[in-house]
Amino acid sequence: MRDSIRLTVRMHRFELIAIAVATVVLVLASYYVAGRLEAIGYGPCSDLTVSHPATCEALGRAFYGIEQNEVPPLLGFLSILPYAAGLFLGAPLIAREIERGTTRLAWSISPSRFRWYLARMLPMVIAVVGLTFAAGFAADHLIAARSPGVDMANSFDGYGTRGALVAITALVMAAGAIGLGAVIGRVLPTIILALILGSLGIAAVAKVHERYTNQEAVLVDEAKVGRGDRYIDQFFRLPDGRLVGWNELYEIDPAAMNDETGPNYPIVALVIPGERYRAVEARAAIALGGIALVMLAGTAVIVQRRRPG
Amino acid sequence: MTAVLETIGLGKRYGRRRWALRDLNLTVEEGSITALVGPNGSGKSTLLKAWIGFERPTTGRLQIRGVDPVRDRAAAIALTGYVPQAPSLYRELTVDDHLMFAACHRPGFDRSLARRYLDDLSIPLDSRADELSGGQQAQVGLALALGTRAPVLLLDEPLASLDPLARREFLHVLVNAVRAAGSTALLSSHVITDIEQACDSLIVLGGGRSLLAVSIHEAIAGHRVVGEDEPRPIDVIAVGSFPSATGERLTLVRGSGGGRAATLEEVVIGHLAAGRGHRPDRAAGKVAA
Repeated sequence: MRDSIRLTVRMHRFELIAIAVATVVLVLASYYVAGRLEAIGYGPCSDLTVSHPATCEALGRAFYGIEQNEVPPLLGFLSILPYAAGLFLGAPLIAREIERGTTRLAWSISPSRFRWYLARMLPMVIAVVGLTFAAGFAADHLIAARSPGVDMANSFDGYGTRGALVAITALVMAAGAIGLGAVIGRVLPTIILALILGSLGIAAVAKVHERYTNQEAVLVDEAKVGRGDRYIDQFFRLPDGRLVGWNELYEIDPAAMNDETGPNYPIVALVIPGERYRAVEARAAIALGGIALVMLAGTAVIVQRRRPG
Repeated sequence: MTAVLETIGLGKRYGRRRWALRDLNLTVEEGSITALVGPNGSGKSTLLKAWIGFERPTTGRLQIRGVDPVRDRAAAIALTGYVPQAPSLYRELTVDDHLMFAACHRPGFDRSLARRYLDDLSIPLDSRADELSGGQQAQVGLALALGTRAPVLLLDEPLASLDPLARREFLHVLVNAVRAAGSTALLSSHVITDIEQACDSLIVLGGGRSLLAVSIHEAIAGHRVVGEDEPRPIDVIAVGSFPSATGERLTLVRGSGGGRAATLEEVVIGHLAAGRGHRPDRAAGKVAA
């Protein structure tokens, strides 16, 4: 098996090296920028509950200069990485073999196509997950540096673009691309179609998961919303205890809406507490990971039944 | 003799109408080297792919050493060494990597045997596949098939893109290996002259049907060629008529009298012509004197 994995890596070394180099560059850049943000020492100044020394203004300028100019492009590239890694490592895996006709040789030599598939798929999936997990961890660190004083383990800040979900997203993309490649048998159409279907699929799963997660939301006073909480909606509490939105309040008390200072009713927020982050992240990871495993198993069936091209 | 490869009423249809093979009944005897000859689209590749489990028959069935490749593809592949039509090597890998690949995926693959074949042909093991000539790539494909030590070799037009020397070398390796191992080979090809030297038996396919299945010796001894203006014996059966290289109209006949001895190429062409409907006397089935 070790030799077989080594051969798979050799066959796909161009894509592997390209994605590995991109990942290493992004990870190093993330740590470098995060290190610079932390070195400024702006953390204590971000606490809004205490008064700050005069030096905070200069520190803030330096901190937000980096936070606004360097962090967004890095996070942008980091958010693209799982899609790129999944597509470019997943799509050619079987599609290129069918396109070039090497499956005729491989499947005539190997009595077990499943074993052949495992030897192909496992190293690439491990590479995709390993590389993007490193990227997710770096994104986690960068977002933590961007949000001093926030406990990232209990915060929805950067949800879906950091931590394990980055690797799981890449795994889903890779699994989908491998499967589509086995069906289509051509690399370029596979990449295009996998990008479209994968993005739509992940967005759909995220939407369904969000609806499910929103059922866990709780109402808190606006002033008590934590920095790590996931904000969902805002309501006004009427004297009789009813909660209403902006439109309803306008119908009930139009005069309050015309006040220049805004409605004078207590505001409550619907949030998912930051403490739920790990549980919500784990649930999303399990759902997406399950989908990826189903797709990988489905590809095994396709490989078993397909003509070699 | 035992039939190693067998088809019973085999048919393969692509789409709704196009039959690549139709009601095909064939046997290939153990220990033979059999040539499978036919024009493009006659079903040669489909037949070979069906035996290795790459194509599922639409009708009928087939066996390889008693194993039905539809029901047990893994067992059929384990019995088979297959050389695909076009060289199907991994261009990123070296020749030695291919041997390693085969050793990883094929239980019992004899890497040293395959290496020896390649060494004899001076094919460098450390060369990448895309650096090899077409002939060398075909030889690597053959070495991989021979390294499986499979009792049955299926070769799908491996000679098509080779120059005469490379063809000769390929056949030399194939014949020696098959004779030494006592295995059975079925070789599809267009190159009749090479077949005559290398093969024991001949199967001619046309339009997805078997037009002729005999030993090479019988094929040559049992046919004569009669020219347009020559007197034709009354007791021979006409097979098909075709033009000679000089434009003269020739007729292939079954029998031992009249005309001149047919070459293997003329036997094949005559049967292919018959398969296309170029029979000189389709109604009577005999050539008049």
